[in-house]
Amino acid sequence: MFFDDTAIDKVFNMVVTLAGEVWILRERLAAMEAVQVSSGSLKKGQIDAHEFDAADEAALAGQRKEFIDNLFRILEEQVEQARQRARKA
Amino acid sequence: MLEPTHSLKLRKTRDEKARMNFVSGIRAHVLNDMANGMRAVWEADVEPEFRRKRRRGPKDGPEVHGAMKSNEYFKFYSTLRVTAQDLVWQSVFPPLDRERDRLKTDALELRRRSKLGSLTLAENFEVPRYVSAIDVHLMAGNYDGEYDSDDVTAGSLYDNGLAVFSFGLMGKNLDDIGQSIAGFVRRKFPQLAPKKILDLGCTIGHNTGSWKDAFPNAEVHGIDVAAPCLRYAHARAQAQGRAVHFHQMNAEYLDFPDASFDVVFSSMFLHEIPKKSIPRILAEAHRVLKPGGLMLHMELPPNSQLSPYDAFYLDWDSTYNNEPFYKPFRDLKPEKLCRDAGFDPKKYVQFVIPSIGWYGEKVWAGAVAQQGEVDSDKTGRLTDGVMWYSFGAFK
Ligand SMILES: C[S@@+](CC[C@H](N)C(=O)[O-])C[C@H]1O[C@@H](n2cnc3c(N)ncnc32)[C@H](O)[C@@H]1O
Repeated sequence: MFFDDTAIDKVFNMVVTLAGEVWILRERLAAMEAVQVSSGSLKKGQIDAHEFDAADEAALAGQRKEFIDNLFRILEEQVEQARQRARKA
Repeated sequence: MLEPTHSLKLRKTRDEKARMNFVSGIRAHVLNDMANGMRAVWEADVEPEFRRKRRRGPKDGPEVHGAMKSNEYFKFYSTLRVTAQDLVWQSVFPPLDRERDRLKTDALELRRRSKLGSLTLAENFEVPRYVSAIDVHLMAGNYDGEYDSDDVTAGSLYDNGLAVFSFGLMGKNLDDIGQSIAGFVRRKFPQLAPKKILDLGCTIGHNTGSWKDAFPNAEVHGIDVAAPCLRYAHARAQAQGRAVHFHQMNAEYLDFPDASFDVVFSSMFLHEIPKKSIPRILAEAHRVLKPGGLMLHMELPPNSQLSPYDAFYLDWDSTYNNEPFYKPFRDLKPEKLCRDAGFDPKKYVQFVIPSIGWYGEKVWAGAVAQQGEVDSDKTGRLTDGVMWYSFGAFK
């Protein structure tokens, strides 16, 4: 263990493990694209060139916000508790 | 994410776009949601605790900072904001590295065919140490770093980085400040009818062009010390069909004759200047202004006009975002700065101008008649409800 707080070493290990899993997903997506290109249902580079239309873009923006809110949801517990205490006081 | 729409726009892969969108989303989360959360934690927990211990409220921003530092929510807010700042620039580098030569060629081509405005770079120009020696807001290479001759990389980094950073609040063309303020001046002071306008520290000219839009018959000039930004600014203005004259100059030593401008403007400029250089810059603004002309600086509001909590909130950048001059500037008194630069205190002005993009043209236009209050925590921040604070004086 290297850091003053050994928990940091453990979290570091988890981050690298998680990154590995993200990479595996990327390779799998690349394989799926390649299979679709060779079967003719996708042109090479089509995904990269794809522009979402305005409606898709807006829907994605909403989903992205939800994703981020959810990711940090646990931090908001402290705020919620603070608000409740303030209401009681 | 809103992205720049001109021919110098970066070509990005699907993943690069997604990464930028994600970083913008994180920025919005920190600057909106978590900023509100942090205020709630302050009001409910930290401030009452402070009052119990000291038997009084906090005097200023640093006292609030002292009390907040050990709070867990503040730590998460800060570490996420620092991370997001790093990711802003990191999200731009991969497409920018790939596109560097294409951008350079396109910028040169726009310059060759240029019919509008001009670009004048100085020979043997000395970039001040306070620009060349730091990476302000953690932007690698800062404004002035160059890869080779005719390089425009720093300009593109700023253009695209700002688009990610501001999560849409600066508008598609990143000119919300310029559009809101130039439009405000046109409506509020119809008698001014400026013929010559100067923008100090214009970077890529994103807020300079708005003056040309508001006053199509005026001659508009922008100066900056950073050559790669100015090259990009000129090319960008060409691509958007705006006639603006860009010059490489130091605002402390302007190469313009006395009494030659009707408006001297700057935005988000003075807080990146060391305290000792600010009086020189304002004195130069005074010198080049015609009698009756207007000097106006859009800035973050001074600490003297904010509550201790708001001061703490804005001071965050100085401590954690490599903005060494930000708090010292905001500790100064704008009225005094103007007076010391030679302006009549009776002709001092300050405004809080609503963002035209945030509020829409109608509300914005309504505000022209009535000057807003300066003590709002919304002032000049990227948070719910955006207003641009500005101060200056008529000569
Ligand atoms: C934050 S940027 C300003 C951005 C822009 N005006 C806006 O509205 O967003 C600060 C700019 O000031 C320039 N600068 C710094 N010191 C300067 C000086 N002494 N004279 C002229 N420009 C300077 C930097 O190169 C940089 O481009």
